[in-house]
Amino acid sequence: VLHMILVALACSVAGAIILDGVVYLLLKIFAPHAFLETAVDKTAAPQAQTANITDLIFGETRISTKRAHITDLHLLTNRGWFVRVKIHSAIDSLNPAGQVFLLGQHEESDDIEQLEQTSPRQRTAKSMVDVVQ
Amino acid sequence: MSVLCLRATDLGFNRHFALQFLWSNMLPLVLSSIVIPAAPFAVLTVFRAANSQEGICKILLAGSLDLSILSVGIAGGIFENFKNMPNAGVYSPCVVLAELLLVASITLISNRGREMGIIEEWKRAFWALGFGFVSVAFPSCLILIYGRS
Repeated sequence: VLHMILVALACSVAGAIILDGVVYLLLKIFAPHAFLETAVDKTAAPQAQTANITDLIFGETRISTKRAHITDLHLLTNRGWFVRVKIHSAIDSLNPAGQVFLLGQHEESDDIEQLEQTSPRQRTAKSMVDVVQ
Repeated sequence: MSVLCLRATDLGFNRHFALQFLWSNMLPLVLSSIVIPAAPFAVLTVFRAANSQEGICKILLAGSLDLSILSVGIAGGIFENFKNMPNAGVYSPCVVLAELLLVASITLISNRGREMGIIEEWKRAFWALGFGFVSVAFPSCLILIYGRS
């Protein structure tokens, strides 16, 4: 019986690895932004969301601005603390200085103004948004 | 190509028998370790995605927790299918205990994964998803491959 259990465990682990790989490939192909989705800690105060956004982009998700191309930034202000970032392609050749380029559509224009007051990097991002949109 | 086929036949290789052997043995294996975990995962993930506005990683985490809860129910079939086997009274609770440990692991990764060192959310989702697949495939393998004998 122990042999049966071990064989079944090995088979199930192999199947799980295969299925995990399939899900990974499907997400890589159809939803690449899922690999950089994250949420700010729910205990964070809503008024601290701009600081959390800074942490999210440059800290928690460990996005290297030298190799990441941020194309979309959603600020869901009705919930206050949830931020989603989508990254699509590398920009080593485009942006050797490591600046952040926000090229996507923003749902809330008020939040962009909040971003403007946070840091020089995000002011750069704000100006890029203006140029692109 | 014909030379290779001739040599394989000379060695006693019977392609029809090999395919039949593979089919009769691999079908329950593939069914229990891949198809059975994948089907409820797809359904449960679609249900989760339809009813929430969370991100994909959150949906995967919730889906893997659903899988693990489902697997505890599947593990109940162990008691019925293995009741006539020797030492079944010892090993069947061990299987259920393993299932519960997998559920606990998924919950731990989902809620405390960041403190455990899995920083990125997608990595937490894939770890939990892997445990979820194992938790469903493990009792399914036991029942489908050995339970029929």
